[in-house]
Amino acid sequence: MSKDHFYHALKLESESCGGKLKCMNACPTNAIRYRKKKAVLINDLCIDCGECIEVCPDNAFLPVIDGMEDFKNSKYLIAIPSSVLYYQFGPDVTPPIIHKALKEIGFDQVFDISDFSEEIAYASVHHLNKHPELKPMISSFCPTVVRLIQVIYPNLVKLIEPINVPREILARILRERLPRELGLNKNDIGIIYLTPCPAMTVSIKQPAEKGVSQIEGAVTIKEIYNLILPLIMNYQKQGEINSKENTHFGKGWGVLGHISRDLGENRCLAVSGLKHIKKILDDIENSKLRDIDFIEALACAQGCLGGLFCVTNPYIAKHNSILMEKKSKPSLPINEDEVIRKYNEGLYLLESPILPRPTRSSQNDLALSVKRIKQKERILQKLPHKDCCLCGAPTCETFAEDCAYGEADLTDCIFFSE
Amino acid sequence: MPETKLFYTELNDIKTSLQADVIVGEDNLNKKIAGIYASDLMSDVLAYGKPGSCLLTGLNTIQAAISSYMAEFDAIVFIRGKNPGKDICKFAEEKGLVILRTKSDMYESCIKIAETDGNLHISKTRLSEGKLSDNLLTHEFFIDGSDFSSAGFVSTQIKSTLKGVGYDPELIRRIAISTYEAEMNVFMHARKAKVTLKASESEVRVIVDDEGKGIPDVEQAMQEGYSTSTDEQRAMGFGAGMGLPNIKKNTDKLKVSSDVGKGTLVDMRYSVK
Repeated sequence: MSKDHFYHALKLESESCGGKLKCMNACPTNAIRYRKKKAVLINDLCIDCGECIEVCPDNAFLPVIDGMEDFKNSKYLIAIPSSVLYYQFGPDVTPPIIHKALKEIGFDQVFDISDFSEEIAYASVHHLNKHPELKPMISSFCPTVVRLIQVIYPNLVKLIEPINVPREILARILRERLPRELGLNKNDIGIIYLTPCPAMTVSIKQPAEKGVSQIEGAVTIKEIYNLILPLIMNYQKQGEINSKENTHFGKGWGVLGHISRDLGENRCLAVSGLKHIKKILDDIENSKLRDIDFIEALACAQGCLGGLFCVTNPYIAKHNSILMEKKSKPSLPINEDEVIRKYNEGLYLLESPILPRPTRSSQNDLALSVKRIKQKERILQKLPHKDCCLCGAPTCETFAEDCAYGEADLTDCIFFSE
Repeated sequence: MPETKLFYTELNDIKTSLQADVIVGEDNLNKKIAGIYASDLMSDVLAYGKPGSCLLTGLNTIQAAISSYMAEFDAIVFIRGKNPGKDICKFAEEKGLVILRTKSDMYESCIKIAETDGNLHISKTRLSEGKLSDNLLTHEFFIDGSDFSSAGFVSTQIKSTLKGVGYDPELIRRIAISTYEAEMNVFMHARKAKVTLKASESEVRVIVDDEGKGIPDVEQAMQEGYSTSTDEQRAMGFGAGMGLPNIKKNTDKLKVSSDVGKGTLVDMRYSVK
C-alpha cells in the first residue's frame, strides 16, 4: 500500500453499475465521475460517508465489512459497542441485557464506553483551556467529518481536537491490561467495535492521522441486531427484563448532543448532516463563530443514530435514548487529577497530527494552478449550467475543472456534440 | 512591472506565409491574433493556450474546434491538407472561428510562420504577455447591502476559488477573515459594493469598493473598539469596532481611502510566499 493510497470502507462493483448517476449527485465531495457509462470513484476525495451506498439502486457500491465469522479464531473476544446499539431495541432493554445477549453470541467480555467518554470530555475541556487560540475546537469523533475537513477545509485541520476517540483509548488500555490479568498472549485477544457506519470501520483500518488502531475490526450493528434480537425477545418472554432496572451505562457519544452535554459549561454547537456541517465550517473559516468553544459535528442525521448500519429509525432511537437517560443512574464521578495526569502523559492524544489530504491543485505549482483555474472559468462560462450530469461529472463546474486539468473531454458535453 | 509592448499579426499574414486555403471565416481575415499555439493535445491547449491565439493542429475532430472555442482562440489552421468535417465547419461558423488549411506539416508550418516578418515577435509576445495577464485570475462580485441573509456569500465564493487554485491554507484563512470583515462593513455601512479578486502566483488582492456614507476619519476607524454601529447590529454580533483592525491584522498591505457621502475603498493585498 503506497502512502497516498486511501483505504475505503466501500467498494464499487463496476459490473453492477447501471449508470443511473444517483451516486454522483449524492456525493458531498464530488468524488464520483462516470466514465464509459460506469461510476468511477476518485479515491483521494472519498470521505467514506456512505451516501453512495445508500442511494445506488443497483447496489454497485457495497460496504466493506467484517462479519462475526472473521473473528472466530480469536481466543478471547471483546466487544466495544457504539452507544447507539443500546437505543435500537426500546427503552426497557437496558445495556446489561444487551451485554448479556452479546456474551451469548460469542463475546467473552463487553465494555461500555460511557465512563470513558466523560473522562475524555474532561481531557478535551482541559486541552481547550490550555489552547484558547484553537477555538472553536472541532470534535474528532466522526471520521467522515474529519475526512471532510482534510479534503475540503484544509485550513481547519488544526482545529480538530488532537484527542483520540473513546473506543481507541479504551482498547489501548484493555490491550495492556487484559493479557496480564487473564494470562493470555497479546495476540489471543480480539477487540471488536460494533459500528453504526462504514466510516468508523475505515477509521479502524486506516486512522485519519495515519496511526495504528488498537481495534481488530468492526462488525455492523445490523448484523449484531439480527443475532441478538431473538435472544432479547426470549428474555422478554421469560420475564428477565425489568423496566425498573437502572444503570449508568449507555450514555456514550453517538447521539447528537451527547458530546456537548459532557463538555459542561463550554459553548458547544451540535450539528448533524453534511450540508449543515459544511455551512458551519464555512462560517468558521470566515471567523464568524468566535464565541463558540466546541463544535460537535456528526455526519449522519441525529448523529450516529442515523448511521447506515443502524436498524431503528433515528428519531425513534433518539426517543429511546431520552427515555433511558431519564431513569439512568448518575455517572460515577471522574478522578479529575488522574485525568490530568493521564493527559500530561499523552494517553489521550492522537499518535500523530491530522494533516490535509493532497488534492490535485495542491500538487502543482501556483502559476500553473492559476492558469488552470482561469481556463476552468473560461470553459465554465460557455457551458450550459444545467448540471445535467450526462458528461459524467456532477456539475458543469466540476466538468470545467476536469477539462482544464485534461481529465475530461469537452466533447463529452452533449450541448457541444449535437 | 515594465509595460510590455505587444506585437500582433493578422490572420491574413498567416494565410500568406502558409499558403493556406480559407475554409471558414473569409470575412474575418483581418483579425489580429495574439499568438500561435501548435499542438495536437487539446488538454494542453486548454491549460496553456492564451485567448486570441491561432491553433495549429493535425487533430481533425470536433474536439479541436470546441477546445479552441473554450480557450477563446480566434482561428484554427489544419496542417497536412486535412479537410475539416461538416460538424467542425458548422461549429466554427456559429462561434465565429476562422478555419484555414495548409499543405505544410507541423514543423514546416511553424518554421514558415517564424520566418515571416514580425512573426518571431508572436512567440515572444505569447511568453511575455502570458506573464502579465494570463497568470492573473480576475473575478468581480457584487454585494447588495440590503439583504443581510446573503452576508458572507462573496467571501465564501472567493475562498472556494482560492482553494481551487491551491494556495496555502493559512493564507486562505487570512484572506477569508479579512474579506468577510470587509463584506460585513458593506452590510452595515453601505448600500452596495463591487468586490474584485485578483490572484496570481505571487500576490492575492481583494478590493472592496462600496457606495456608502464613507469614513470621516480613517485613522480613528482603524482603532480597536471604535465603532459607529447601531445596537441592532451589535445584537447580531457585529460592529464591535474590530472590523478594520482585524482586516489590518490579516493583510500584508492595506489601503483604506474614503470619500464622505460617497463611499469607501478597501484595498487588501496578501503576498504569496
